[in-house]
Amino acid sequence: MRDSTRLYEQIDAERAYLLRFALAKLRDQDIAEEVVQEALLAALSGSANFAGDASLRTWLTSILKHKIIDYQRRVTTERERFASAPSAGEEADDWLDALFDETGHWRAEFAVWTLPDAAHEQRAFFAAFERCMDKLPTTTAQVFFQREVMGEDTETICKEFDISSSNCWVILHRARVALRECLEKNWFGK
Amino acid sequence: MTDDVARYPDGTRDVSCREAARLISFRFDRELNHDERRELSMHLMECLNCQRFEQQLKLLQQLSRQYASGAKAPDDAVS
Ligand SMILES: [Zn+2]
Repeated sequence: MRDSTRLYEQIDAERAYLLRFALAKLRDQDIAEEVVQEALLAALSGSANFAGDASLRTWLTSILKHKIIDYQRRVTTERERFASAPSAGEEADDWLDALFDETGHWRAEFAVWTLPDAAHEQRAFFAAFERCMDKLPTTTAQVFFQREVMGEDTETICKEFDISSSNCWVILHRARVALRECLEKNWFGK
Repeated sequence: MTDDVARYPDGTRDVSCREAARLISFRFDRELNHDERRELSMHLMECLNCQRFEQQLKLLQQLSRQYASGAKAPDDAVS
């Protein structure tokens, strides 16, 4: 059995991740914080239900998902969806162009990446991963988070952000290239 | 697109890393059509950087999923 203060601390340590998750879905800082708060309270009062066979993060995420759905239901019934479409390109492609030479070939030579192995290494990696995600433009970061972290299909994401699928693919491509650059510079290339 | 595209003897377009990278990335989200598949595999055969790019994106995906379940916590694992 877990001692409750410790569980409380562990749950609180997941707050930052949950906030990212909520933000990718709700796209509003205040609302995301509110929903995460609700989820954490629900988790604490229901902590006896935490079986410990799934990871704590997985368990908390499932509670959060319910809270997000509840919130979305509440809003849809109250008023119309307020989602504003992100601008088509969101940003110029200059930084992307700069990665290639005049003939369209990569300028830099890439490193071979190996998976972070030990747990402490993994934690340091995910900290770097978060810093790199934070550097992405907002919509790009949220689309990437929904696609690769949450594992949503592109069709669902397109609908939610009200963008065309080709736009969605390009946004994801940009996100991957930008994260690749950032991770190679700050982690794998070291 | 320019008219004078370089082509392989079989007619497949000789694409740049820039285009190949897009195809590598798109493949995570949609199926490539016949031409795209050919262009990409021809390019990958001779480009080490794009091979690495693909391997890195696979790792990135794997790590993103792992991130969703939380990193393993050694000190807290057994309690
Ligand atoms: Zn290449």
